[in-house]
Amino acid sequence: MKARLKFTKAGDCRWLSHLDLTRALNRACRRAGLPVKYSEGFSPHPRLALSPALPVGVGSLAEYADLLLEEEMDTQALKELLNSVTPKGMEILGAASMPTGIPALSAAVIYADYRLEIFKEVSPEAVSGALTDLSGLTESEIKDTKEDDFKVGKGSVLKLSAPDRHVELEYRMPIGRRLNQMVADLRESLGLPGETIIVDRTAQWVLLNGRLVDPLSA
Amino acid sequence: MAVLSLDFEEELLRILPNVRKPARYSGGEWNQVVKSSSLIKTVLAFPDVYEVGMSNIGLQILYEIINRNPDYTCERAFAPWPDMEAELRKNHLSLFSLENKRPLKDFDVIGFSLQYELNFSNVLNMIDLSGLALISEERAEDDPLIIAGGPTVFNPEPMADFIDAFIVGEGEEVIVEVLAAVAAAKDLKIGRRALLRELSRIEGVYIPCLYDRRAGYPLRDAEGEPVRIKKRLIKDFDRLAPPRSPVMPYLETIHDRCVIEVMRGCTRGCRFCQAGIVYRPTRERPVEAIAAAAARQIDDTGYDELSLSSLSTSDHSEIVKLLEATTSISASPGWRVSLPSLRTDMFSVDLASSLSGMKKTGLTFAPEAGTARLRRVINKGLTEEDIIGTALKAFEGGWQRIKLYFMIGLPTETDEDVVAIAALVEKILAEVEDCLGRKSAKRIKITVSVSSFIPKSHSPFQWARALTPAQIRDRQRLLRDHLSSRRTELKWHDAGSSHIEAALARGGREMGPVIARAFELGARFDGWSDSFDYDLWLDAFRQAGVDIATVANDARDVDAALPWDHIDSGVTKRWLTAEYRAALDGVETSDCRQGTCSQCGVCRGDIRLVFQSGVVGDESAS
Repeated sequence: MKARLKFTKAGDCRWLSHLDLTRALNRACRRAGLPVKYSEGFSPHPRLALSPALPVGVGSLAEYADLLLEEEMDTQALKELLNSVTPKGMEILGAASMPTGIPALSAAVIYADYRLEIFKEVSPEAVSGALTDLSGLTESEIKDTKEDDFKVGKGSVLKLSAPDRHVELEYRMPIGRRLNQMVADLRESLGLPGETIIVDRTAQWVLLNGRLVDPLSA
Repeated sequence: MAVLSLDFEEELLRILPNVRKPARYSGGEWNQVVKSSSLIKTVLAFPDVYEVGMSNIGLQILYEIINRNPDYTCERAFAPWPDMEAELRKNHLSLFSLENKRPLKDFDVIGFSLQYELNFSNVLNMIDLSGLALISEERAEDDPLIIAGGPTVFNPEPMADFIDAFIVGEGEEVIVEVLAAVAAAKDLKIGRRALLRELSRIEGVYIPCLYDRRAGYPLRDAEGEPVRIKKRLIKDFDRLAPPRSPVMPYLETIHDRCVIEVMRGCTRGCRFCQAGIVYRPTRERPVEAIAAAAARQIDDTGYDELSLSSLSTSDHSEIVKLLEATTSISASPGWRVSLPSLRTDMFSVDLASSLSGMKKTGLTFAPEAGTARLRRVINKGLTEEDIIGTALKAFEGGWQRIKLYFMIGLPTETDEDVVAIAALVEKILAEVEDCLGRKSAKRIKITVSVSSFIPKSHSPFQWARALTPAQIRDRQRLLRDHLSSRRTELKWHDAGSSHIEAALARGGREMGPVIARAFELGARFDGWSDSFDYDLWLDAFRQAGVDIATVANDARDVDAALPWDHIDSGVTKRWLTAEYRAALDGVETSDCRQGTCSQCGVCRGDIRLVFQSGVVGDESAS
């Protein structure tokens, strides 16, 4: 059975690298006693594959992992069992059974949404302006982007607001574009070399019948 | 400089992106124990980086024992890497624990694990980063109690200026007694000095400030009697359960696997080895207990590898049964059992062969000396046939790499002994070629790892001198010149680093100001070759007015008082002296398991050897 999990990388887990995260999930699966399929050959390893890597320091509300199991399992039971053995920052939000032969997550995910919190008094207009320069899209093209629209070019703003003297940006980017580079470019444009910018991934998207859907529904 | 807010978590969000491997400081791991409040707060402070400290089994053992008590909390802190230290100092932040991000000053007890002399500068750094005075006697009434344990506390004087209480020996029982005293003192409000006096009544606890340490050695009490601190020992180690739920690091650590001690102590009596003395007598754990503990740990961690740890695991009297029991614990295809410390004999190669996955890594053996003569001096008892036969068996068995550990600078060593190391290795390679054929022999590689002998307290060689760095380098060069085969790789330890280690291991109270000066000059992570700065340490010695050559490189008279005479390892000085003399005469002493007791003195009263397959040794030893 191919089980696809959706899980968080939150709290202290924000500081994990992709390898650390994979290892942590792997061990949680073993603690849960899941009948994970192993690869053949000299050095057997568990058949577990994660969605595209996040850098150290970026948290997430929407990470995914495909798990190959030797036997069928009820997905709700799977979710509850895993949640009983995952560390605090890694919560399994959902589990779904996938048909075999669907593309791997690393290939299937095309876009990801991120939330950036910029802890500095910058105007939303300045942020929008900097993003225009960085995205290659015109301002009106940015404003017209709808949530399920996949014509995002280099990236598009989903939401921009300034509650409580800091700026919150929700931004969609193609998965191939390097997040760290985008954040670094944004810092430079806005002149914020040392300020805290907290970044979290909020969603990942795969393409199904011409529409963007959550990988669990693929 | 304005800070975001006083909330520590927010500070971390700001500074952690600026450091390498921020997960070293963030905690949150599976099996961590977080308690919001408790009567007595303790923090285990490991003076090395997270990845090294988390591999220390003592840390996991004490963490679990202390946290088991609902009234106590035990958290962890590790030496901050220089980039993190810079962030902490720049932002005026204290060193903090991982579990609750609590500044170390807010704890009742800070416990340092002193595994290794080259970590001492990190200890001072961690004390300083906690906002505490370095010198024990300068600390405030309400400051946390700073305690220390681990093998180096068998020579506590170098660190005695900075530590309030040393715990000598095995910590499982004594830590509970110490914390009970701390709790009682807090409850009754008896004050710091009175608490220290209470603690000094506990066996195994050494409180430096209660004695006049300015007089000569041996240390004497107020009545003029020599002080004797008896080490603590778990007599019933065979009945003590290993940790159930070790904290699972997120980061990759040195030993990323279940580690279970299969026994404590060692019967071999290699004369350079301090651990073999201070952990006497040998006490083996039963096979069933080890297997059950491993099964529990796998359930609670998700590790898929088990390391059977001890000073000489293939010596366990039921090793074959142990391997059978542990290899079958888990049905997972990835399950592996590993044997870290192998005896140099063919039996050990057989054992290793029975474990799947062992062939992927190399096999490591420790002949230690190149000639039979020198091996007799150190009581290693290996013949050339043993060594060559073992290596050959390993290569015939499918291994392509083996590692051989040797030491240079051993007492009575000559150039001939050093050259003999190369000759021995060449002989192994020649035999391999004869037996396996030239083609197969081409794939073989032997790594020769040469460390420098450091004379350690409480070993039979405690009176011996360490070679000077120049002498060490001469012998390293000699070996390098003679070891020419392309199928060997030679690794050696930096002579400067060994020199400082020797001084810290053999020194007495005069070392306190040296260590303090080195810390002030910026010494950190001295055990790491990239961070170690020999010249900095030489400056520290000069500025403190201590001659390093006297401390490290002068032999000592067997009748002279030693800086560690007040610490009692259970083994008599008479026996150690006899062993030293036997060494110089090239006479061997038999292993405790071989039926003749050499009367080292440690087995007395109800302290005895514990072997699982019936008692092999002489029971009348006393």
